[in-house]
Amino acid sequence: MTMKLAPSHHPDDAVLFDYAAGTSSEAAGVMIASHLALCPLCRAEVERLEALGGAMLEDLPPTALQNTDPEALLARLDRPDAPAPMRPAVASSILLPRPLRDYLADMPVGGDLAALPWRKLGGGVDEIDIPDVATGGEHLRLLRIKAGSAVPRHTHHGNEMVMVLSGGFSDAAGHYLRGDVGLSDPSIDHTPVADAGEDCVCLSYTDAPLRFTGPLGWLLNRIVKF
Amino acid sequence: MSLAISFPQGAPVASRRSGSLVRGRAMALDKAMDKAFSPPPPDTAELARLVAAVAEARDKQAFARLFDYFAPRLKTYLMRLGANASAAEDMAQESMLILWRKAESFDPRQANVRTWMFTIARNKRIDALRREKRPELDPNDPALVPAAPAQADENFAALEHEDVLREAIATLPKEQAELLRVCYYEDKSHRQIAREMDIPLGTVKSRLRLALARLRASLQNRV
Repeated sequence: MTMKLAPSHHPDDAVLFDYAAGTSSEAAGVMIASHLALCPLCRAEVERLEALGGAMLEDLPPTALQNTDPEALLARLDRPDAPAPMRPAVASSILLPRPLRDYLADMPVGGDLAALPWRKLGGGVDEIDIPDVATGGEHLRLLRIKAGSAVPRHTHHGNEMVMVLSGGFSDAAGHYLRGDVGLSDPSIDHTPVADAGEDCVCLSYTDAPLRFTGPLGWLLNRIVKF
Repeated sequence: MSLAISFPQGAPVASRRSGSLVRGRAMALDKAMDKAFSPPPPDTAELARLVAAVAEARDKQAFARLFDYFAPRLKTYLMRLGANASAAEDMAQESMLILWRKAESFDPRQANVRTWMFTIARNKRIDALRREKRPELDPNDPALVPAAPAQADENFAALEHEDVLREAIATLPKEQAELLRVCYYEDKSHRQIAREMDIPLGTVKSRLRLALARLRASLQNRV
């Protein structure tokens, strides 16, 4: 794996803003938090955005408390903390960012990536849906693209973020390595190709289904509920 | 030790007049008296000192002052984001208990207290809405890619920059300042905001970018 200091492809700044303000969806939040673990640049940007939210707190008019019993509250201070719940470790050959690992830990087989129920999408691409996270038309999934394989050419009804966890891939817009986030919207029709030599595992977030556009696209669109 | 937690600073005048000694006085005088007699809210440095007192000495008086300052504001914040009054108050209390428990982990060189409390309350609310806890960054995550040493002028959150930042926000053009407030203090994504303000999503983004660029510039000029 090529080592580098920080990713060079980042999520849209509006998405970081939503994350800092606490308005992103849970599935988008997992994607962003995972990217932040791998990207000191975006982490710093989110910290700046959080500082903004904090600075404006001063100007909020206070609302009087109605049902706070000072004695009861102060008594609670002396109670020992409840221990934080422990999560099972996820066995994985890939070093997964903690926010993602926590979600996989809930899956059967303890989140061992190789043992997870990968589903074949065809064309050397497998996927796993991360359950109970996505709402509405959203999807959060892991994609595994066989070394050197291409994801069937497709476009998007909505927006897609794909972050590389291991290996790498290329499309017309560039080359993506660990931590890099590829962005797509309905105007982009692309064919990502995994680097040769190593399978590429990605985290993918889509806010609406993909639409395949290649020669067999009409068929794929029926078969693959992407 | 007097442990009565009071909520005098800045609480709405109307809600405090019943039962208070100042009942029946003219409103304007009332307000003037309030100004004269209620202690000023703690400033940025004072907030950090109070958190340090909680961390080092488990100082309940210091906690009570932090509570008086933050809990009513966090309640407003949480209500604006859609919680009812009672749920908002519960979450504000829970947020303050987190301050009590985690005061040792607060590092004034990295962040300021308002930012810290903003993120705690924000996460409390998300946790209440979700099946899972908010996917949070873990500073001890073995996968974490460490940052290069931060440039001083890039760190909005550092304690000494917070006042500069607040002044800078006050001088933003009205539309940018308003947009920031909607983004942070109403439960709306950029898409929803664009729809409601009837402007393209791109305009929302470019206005925010302008605002952030201005804030960055004012920090660089002042620091």
